[in-house]
Amino acid sequence: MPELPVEIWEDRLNNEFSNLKNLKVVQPDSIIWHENNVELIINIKAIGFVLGLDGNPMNLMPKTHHKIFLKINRSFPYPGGIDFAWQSSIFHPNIHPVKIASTRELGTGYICLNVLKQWSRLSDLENTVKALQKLVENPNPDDPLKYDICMKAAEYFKEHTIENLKDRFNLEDKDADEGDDDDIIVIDD
Amino acid sequence: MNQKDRNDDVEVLSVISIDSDKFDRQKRIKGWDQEKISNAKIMVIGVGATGNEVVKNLVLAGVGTILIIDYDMIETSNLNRCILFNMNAAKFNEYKVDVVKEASRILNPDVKVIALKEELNAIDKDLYGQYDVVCSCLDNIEARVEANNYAYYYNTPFIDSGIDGYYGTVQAVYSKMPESSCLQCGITNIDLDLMWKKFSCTGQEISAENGATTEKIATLVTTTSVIGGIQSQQVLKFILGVDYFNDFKEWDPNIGEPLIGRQLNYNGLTNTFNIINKFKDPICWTCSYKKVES
Repeated sequence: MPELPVEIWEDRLNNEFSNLKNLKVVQPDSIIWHENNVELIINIKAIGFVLGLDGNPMNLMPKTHHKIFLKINRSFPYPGGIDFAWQSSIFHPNIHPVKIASTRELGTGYICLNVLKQWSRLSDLENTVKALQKLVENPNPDDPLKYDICMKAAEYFKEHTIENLKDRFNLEDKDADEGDDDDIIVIDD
Repeated sequence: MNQKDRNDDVEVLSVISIDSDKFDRQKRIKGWDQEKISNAKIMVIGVGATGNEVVKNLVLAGVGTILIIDYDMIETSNLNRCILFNMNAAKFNEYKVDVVKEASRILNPDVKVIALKEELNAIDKDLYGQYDVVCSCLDNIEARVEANNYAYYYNTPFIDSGIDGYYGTVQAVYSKMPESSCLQCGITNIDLDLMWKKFSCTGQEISAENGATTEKIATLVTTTSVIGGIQSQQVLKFILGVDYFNDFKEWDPNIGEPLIGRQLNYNGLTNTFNIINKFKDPICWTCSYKKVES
């Protein structure tokens, strides 16, 4: 993959990070600069669901805060410059989280979303994070990841829409962008 | 006219002095400065088909130092279009840069040729700033874009070329003309997709049909000569004219303007050249980048 000269790369990333800080999805001290890459944790707010302790999909619990690990290497913003890992637990057909509730195994953290793979000229981290928020609230059960928990989630979300679940838990459909007065919430799962 | 004057005239036009100077004929070109040529340092990335032509032309013109970068080895299928390669080198799979260096020494022993057997992304990036012109004679878009990015960053003139069968293209990039476009300005989402596919699928899905220029494109020695010739002409224009440009912000009319921000296309089927203006991308990652204070 091609590279940008290191100074342009750093400036571009600083611009991107300041946009993320305006979105209130990243804490300044969670950005760690290494020689050839940058690691950061993104905290997004979106209405998702996790399995209960018994692992039964009938006992889903709502979860509104999610943690994503990002690693940006020197290829950024060219394709392949960015790695995502979904860190907090979630029950979702297109996300295989690192922490899977009710089991001791670790997942891959893999996220199935086109904008992560097909990085275009107009792509930036801000819009990517917004796309991740939308993905949490709009699962695509027709194209699940080939992991047991994701297949299970696909089956479940084919029968139950997010709207039904929101009604069940009396969740307000509050857009994450509007909650600007809130501080960043650090999640410890 | 007395005898003394006549003697002076005869001395200036002496047949012996005309023919003993290797560069006499090119010195007759208006605006030519052989000293600039012999002090120039040129970097040529890739010494395949076009690279051979470019190195040959620069060596014959008497360029001072040429750095050649290529990690590849010679194969028999290269021999139809590479003047500096030979059958023996193909038989023993010698490194391209070694063979080119040796052949250049025979053409013109005064030229210093430095050979570098490394991949482009492994070289010391400061090299881009140490040379007067960077010439890319590459076969893939990733390396082209990387060379463009670094050359632009170090304010070094950059000349790119490409060939495919009867067709060829040459484009120059120069950051001191900030209104002109760079190579990254022309990169589309389709190019980025192809890069990603190559990166993620180890090139399996990529073939010459869907636009990638990775493997086994058609090449013809005549097209190579045309494009290599035009590309080396741009190098000479930069060497001779860049001081004038930096002083007066316009190109010396005796030297002419290189193809900066413009793409020359050669069509060998219709025997035509056309030049298109490439527009600067206002959101280009490389040349339209602006530092925003956070």
